[in-house]
Amino acid sequence: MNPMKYYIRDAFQGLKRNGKAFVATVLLIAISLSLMGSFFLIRHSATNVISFLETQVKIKVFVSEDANVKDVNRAISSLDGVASTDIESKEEMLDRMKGFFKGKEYLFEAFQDASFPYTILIEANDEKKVDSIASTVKNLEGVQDIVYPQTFAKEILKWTEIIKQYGTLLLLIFLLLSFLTTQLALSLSVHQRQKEFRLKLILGGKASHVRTQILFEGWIMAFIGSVIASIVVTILDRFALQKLMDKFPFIFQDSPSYLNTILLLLVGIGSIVGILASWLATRGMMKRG
Amino acid sequence: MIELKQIEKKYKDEVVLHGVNATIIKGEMVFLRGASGSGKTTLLKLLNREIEDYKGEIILDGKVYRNYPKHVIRREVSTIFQSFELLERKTAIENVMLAGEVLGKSKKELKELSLQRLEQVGLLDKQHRFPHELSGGEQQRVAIARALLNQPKVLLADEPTGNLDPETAERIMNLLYAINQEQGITMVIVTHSNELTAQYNTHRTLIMNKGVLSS
Repeated sequence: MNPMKYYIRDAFQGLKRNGKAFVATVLLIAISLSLMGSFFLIRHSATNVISFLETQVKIKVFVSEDANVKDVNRAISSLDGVASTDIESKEEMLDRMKGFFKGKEYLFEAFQDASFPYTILIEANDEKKVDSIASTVKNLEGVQDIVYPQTFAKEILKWTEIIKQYGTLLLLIFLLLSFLTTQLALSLSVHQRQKEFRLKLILGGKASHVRTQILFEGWIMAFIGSVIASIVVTILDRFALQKLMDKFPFIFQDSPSYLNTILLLLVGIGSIVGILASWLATRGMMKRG
Repeated sequence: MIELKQIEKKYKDEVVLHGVNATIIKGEMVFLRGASGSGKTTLLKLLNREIEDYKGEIILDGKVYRNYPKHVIRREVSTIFQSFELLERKTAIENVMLAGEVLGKSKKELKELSLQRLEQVGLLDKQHRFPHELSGGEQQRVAIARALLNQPKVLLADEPTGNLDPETAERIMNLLYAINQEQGITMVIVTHSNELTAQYNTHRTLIMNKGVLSS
């Protein structure tokens, strides 16, 4: 018969006995992995937004007050890659904005006296040409400013990269903390129960079995921590990301497989952290035999 | 049968066992006597494989120690200690059962065996007591019951009466003697007491002096 059932029973008893260290370790692992999962979700959403913005082919040009809008429009229309242009006057723009001020007409009145430049809306025939059209238009005489979605995409990408960089660093710190806490908790547990482990070995227990008991304790802590983190990430997905998806279905693609992958990753990383930390915690004991 | 061939053990530069040779016959009860620091406990630790780093050979019934994993040897060689080494959170019977749990014996079989061993050492009525509810002599008897659970070939005893009063010590020694006689288990009893070896003068006493063994 396999003696492991006795070792597993002892593992649970050990965890119960060191209740506070157990809870602290589980919580730290859960926090680290929740951060990691949230980070992956944010990255996934940002990628969706970037992809959406990159597919947009429109550029908005603000024309200087002293320039002739028709001349500027003619110059733009002659550029390579421009499919169409559309001039929008101050009146047309205000008409379009009316809807935003429903119920707050006094605000709308204030806008009517303001000076608004003419705008030209350019549509490119290829999303890949948007960038080069925008840089050419920017240098045309009479152009005050230009706005196009791909500039936002670049900005988002920039921030995503920053988050990725510092987020990864933060994650590594948290993972290291979880790892060290698990190792510390297990080292304390091993120290506290060294008589029990030594006895098991003296009585003829296999070293691998005794070690497995401790590895199992470490894994249980990490597994519970990763399950809590998975619940947190699922809640975040359901109550934040899913709402965004429902509101902007054309931006966010619903991909449950991505969430499942994140959850699997969390459980996997948690398990590795737990097992590795407990393995290290038992190294000394195994050497002494 | 246990054979010790040219055993040498060093702690850093200090030699604690100098080419120890000995043969212990199957079923024999041998005392290993010596002053503190003479090397007797080191020799016992070699026999139960707590120490692995030594020169020479130890052979148990033809099995060369080095060629077998620790647990294989330890299932044939049981040890009892001066400090009893009982787990405080386990009752007497649970402490005895531990020896069978590491081998994976079934709960039913374990319980039966443990009760038999506790009966053998006269503690059947105290099976549910925790170590702190037992006297020193009773704790040592629980340790003996645990050591005997898996029917070892050899029982090593490291100062088994060292923490006991003379009367209790005598009872423990009588118990070990009876087990040796009835079950034929080979015993190596480490002691520094001349009185104890004098009491059992029908048995062989090996003297350890500064790492050198003599009869």
